[in-house]
Amino acid sequence: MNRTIRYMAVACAVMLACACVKDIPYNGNDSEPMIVINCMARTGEPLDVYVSRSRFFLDTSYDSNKLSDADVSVTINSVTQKPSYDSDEECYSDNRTVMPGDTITVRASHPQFGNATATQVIPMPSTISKEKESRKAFNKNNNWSWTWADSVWSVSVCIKPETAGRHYYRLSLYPERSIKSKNDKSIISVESSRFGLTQSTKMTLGLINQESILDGEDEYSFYYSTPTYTFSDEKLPADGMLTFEIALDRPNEEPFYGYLEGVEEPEEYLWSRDADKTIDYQCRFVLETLSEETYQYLLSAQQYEDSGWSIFSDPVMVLSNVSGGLGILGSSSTSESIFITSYTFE
Amino acid sequence: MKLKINKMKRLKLIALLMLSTAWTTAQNYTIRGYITDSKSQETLIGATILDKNSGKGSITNEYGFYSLTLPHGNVSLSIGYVGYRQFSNEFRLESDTLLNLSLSEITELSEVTINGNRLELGVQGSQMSAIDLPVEQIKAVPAMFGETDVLKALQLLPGVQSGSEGSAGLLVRGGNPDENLLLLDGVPVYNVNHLMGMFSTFNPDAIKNVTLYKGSFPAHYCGRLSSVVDIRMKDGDMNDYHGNFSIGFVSSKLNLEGPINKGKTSFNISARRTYSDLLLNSALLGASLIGRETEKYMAGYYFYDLNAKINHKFSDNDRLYFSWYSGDDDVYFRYKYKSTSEGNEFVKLGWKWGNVVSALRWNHVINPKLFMDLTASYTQYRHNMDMGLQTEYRQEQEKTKESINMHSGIFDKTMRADFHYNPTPDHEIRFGSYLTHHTFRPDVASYTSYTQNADTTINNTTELAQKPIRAMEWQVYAEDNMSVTDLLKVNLGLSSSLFSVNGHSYYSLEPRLSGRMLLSDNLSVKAGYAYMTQYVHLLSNNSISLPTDLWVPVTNNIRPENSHQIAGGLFYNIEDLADFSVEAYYKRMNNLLEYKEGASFMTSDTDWQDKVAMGRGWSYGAEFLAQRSIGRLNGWVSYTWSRSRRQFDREGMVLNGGRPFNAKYDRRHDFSITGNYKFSDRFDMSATWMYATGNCGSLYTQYYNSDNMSSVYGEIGYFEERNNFRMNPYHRLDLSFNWHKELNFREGAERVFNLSIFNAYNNRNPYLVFIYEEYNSTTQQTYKALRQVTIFPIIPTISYSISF
Repeated sequence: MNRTIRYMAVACAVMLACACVKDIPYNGNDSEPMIVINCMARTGEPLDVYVSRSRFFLDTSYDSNKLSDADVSVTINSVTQKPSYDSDEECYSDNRTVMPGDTITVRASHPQFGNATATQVIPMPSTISKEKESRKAFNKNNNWSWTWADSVWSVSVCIKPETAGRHYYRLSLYPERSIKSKNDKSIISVESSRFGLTQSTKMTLGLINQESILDGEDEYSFYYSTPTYTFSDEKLPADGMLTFEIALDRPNEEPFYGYLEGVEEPEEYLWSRDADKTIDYQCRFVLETLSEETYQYLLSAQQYEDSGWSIFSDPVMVLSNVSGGLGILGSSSTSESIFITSYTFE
Repeated sequence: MKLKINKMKRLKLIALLMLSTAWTTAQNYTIRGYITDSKSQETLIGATILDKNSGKGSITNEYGFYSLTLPHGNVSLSIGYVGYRQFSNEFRLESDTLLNLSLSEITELSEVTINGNRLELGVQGSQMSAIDLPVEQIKAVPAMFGETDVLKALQLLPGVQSGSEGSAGLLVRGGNPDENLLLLDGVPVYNVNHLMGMFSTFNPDAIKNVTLYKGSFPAHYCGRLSSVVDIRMKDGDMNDYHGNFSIGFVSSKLNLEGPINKGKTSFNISARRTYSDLLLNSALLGASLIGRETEKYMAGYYFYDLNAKINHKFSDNDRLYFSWYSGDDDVYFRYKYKSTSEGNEFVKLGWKWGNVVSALRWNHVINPKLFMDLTASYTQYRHNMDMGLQTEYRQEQEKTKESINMHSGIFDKTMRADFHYNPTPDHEIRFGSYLTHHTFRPDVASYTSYTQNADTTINNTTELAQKPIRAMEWQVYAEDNMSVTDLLKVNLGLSSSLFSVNGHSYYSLEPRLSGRMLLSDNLSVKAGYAYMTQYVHLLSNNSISLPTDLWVPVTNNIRPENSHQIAGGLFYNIEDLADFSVEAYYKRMNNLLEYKEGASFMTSDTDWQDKVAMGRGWSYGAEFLAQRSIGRLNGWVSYTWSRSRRQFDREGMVLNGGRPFNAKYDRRHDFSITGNYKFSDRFDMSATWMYATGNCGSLYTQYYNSDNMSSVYGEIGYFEERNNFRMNPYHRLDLSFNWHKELNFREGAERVFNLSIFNAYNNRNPYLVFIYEEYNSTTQQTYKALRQVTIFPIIPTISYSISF
């Protein structure tokens, strides 16, 4: 009997040993690194071209892949220049600024990693204009009732494209509040404001990256990140109108450090003791009209980022418009609109 | 005047024609009846009835009924069924005749009792892309853990693939796993998997017949794109009691059948249960007793299947069947802490899922040429998850109770009427209709908390539920399997369906056509076309079957899937040797669903419709099958060459940059050989060897800097094409040995000792591949490699069974 048990134990051990793992060679033919171009051409801004090489997934070296010795050229409307390498920013800088309708071509070549090229046309801008604003009492029963807001500032903007066809946008919102000194009304603090959106706005937009802020789950991002929405105009209402609601929150009673204009050292303030009860709120809407490739790139990159945690998600193919290599040459035209309001807390 | 004469002539001619037709009809009589097994009275599906004088014949339907209309005069009937003795009879046909016949099994060949391919699926029939797999052959196929499995046996046939290793899921001709209609006694079964798909819900002991259709679908089948698996349960022996009991590595099974009222009513009942949980709990209980612990654990997993069928024969014209299937998987964990000083704690976790399928069927012979089958059926799949915590603290005098429950499911109620009408031997007409009421119940979650202490009692219940979705599905069909000439036989059918959900209706007209041209007595060429529509989808992770997989209907946004399939083939039979077939097919599919890139079934905050993309697919391939159903050595050889591609390029639903890509289960080669050999009455063995191109998946092969161009702060992964990586080929050899010994207590009783060896040469087949990385602090070097996991090495198992 003991012998039988021994045999069975040995058999089990053999089975377990067999049920193991083994390392296998990669049999694909795409193990060679490729040249990478990354550049976002925005109207009114100089061009920064980042050139690097990709890394084979089994490479164990994580050193910087930036290429400072690449041959890079930028052509804007048939005028070609070789940008200089900025070693601080690790990119090739071209001081020319681009305008709507410009055609840009970026080429990069490297003896080891080959040649790559990408071309973009800067899209025509769409306008974003103030339409209306209003204020209403803050409803404590809604899903961000844990804020200290007294009032809700409702602002409406209208997006209108200049050209026909499908348009793609990235809309960034920068809400700020300026706290002024009780005595001389000088500004002692400018900070990001709390921000909230109505549910209807959330449903209207094809949101891709601000779920946590909308749900009020992530306090850190709630305070510091800039709400940004990337969408196509098929998601817009027919009149192009979008309404956002900003919670006008009461500063809490914790001491805070503020900077008086012209004074370098911050000073400690207490809102109830030092600050004026009237606070100026500003909301800046920055609208980037994107090229379709830029839009698809941003969308797929966001999906890639979101799926990173899940082993069950299918991999995401991030769009690349670089021929012969990887990366993105994006383009956008920027326009903006600013709202300002004041609110006096009791 | 001339015109008037012409009219008169025409009228006379019509009258003459009508008279002659009436006279001709009067000269024809119909022979009808049931063909059964002489011992058990089990009806035989697909038995052939042939009049040698006229060369006309018929085939029994899925209830064993046949009807053959012949001219008045001498008839020489030959009735056959492979594996059974042929019955011949000559008589003079002078009136409509009822002829119920029982055929005897050929015991000399009883090493494995083979029914063979039915006539209409072989050289002679018009049906193509269909295979009959006898249960005896299924049982003879060597199986993992000794658990013979219907679906795993089907995976060895050409055009059929498994998903991941060990999975019972079917992938037919480049289709997805949810495109298969699995019918148990004509009723759909939604979840056919136990234990993440390692076993199917079909217990071979309860099954009489399995037929797989991969294309050229007859019009009476509809609702799925890729295949129909028609599984018929045993009716039960009308004359004598029989049973079978087996005990194996994983489960025990019991099958009993016999008469309730001899010759009139029979029953068949089969049960199967795994017992790993019983062993585990015994061990846990023993451990807690030895240690005199105040803590007690119970944990385990089991599944069971229960099949039951009652069959009552009112008369030669009326039969009633009631069939029932119930099966569940249950995972549970219990923890109990009991202390007289501190208090008690009780934790329970439970996860249960399963199907219930039932059907009440009435077969009625309206007249010798017209057979009616009326069915009322119910099928459901439900999934339930429970978590609970109960505490009682003596010092604080506080009792708390918390529980979370989540459940989902699909429930169908169907009324169905099918008619089989054989007006002449050249026409076998089927028509009918069904109406199904679907209730889809997406996830429902509820949370209950209860706190009681010296001062207060708080009771709180919260329920989060999506509303049940109700839908109606209606189908009407007609088909005629007609002999155009002696050489040309055509099955022409039309099916029409309507699906109504949330005030939105989809309508589909589905033509079906298949034909056979006889080149010689044993050689034919066949071709077929089928258009199929599918109104329900399974939201599932592709690689494994999880109980959380959810069936959902079409919506306003998600349109029905549909497919066009054409197939052609050559069928050849060498008498007393084997059947051979070569088929080629091309299938085009529309509105296929796949998860969007980056989407996962694990995220429940988004509507499922936003997580899926719709696209199209196409697959093509060639299949070869050689099937030998007689003799000491029998089995089959199967080979498939295939391609399956997908393209998702609709706006907002783009996958792979809108370019075509290989489907997840695209496989170039699939080969298997299965053989059973009977050495003597006391010993037989079977073996299966299979080889398949490896599964493919998507693997980031390059990483590059994002340079803060987007929300990605680190590196971005790149792959050239979706499903760009292919695993190593899969191959294994399975063996099964049976030692039989007669038992004295009853004639025909025997015991069988079985030894099965799964993956006999212990090939390390890939189950999954991942990137492994390890840093060695001594050498200060990083090792990185692709690591392949094998989960099923060589697995020898034994089982013991007694049949009587």
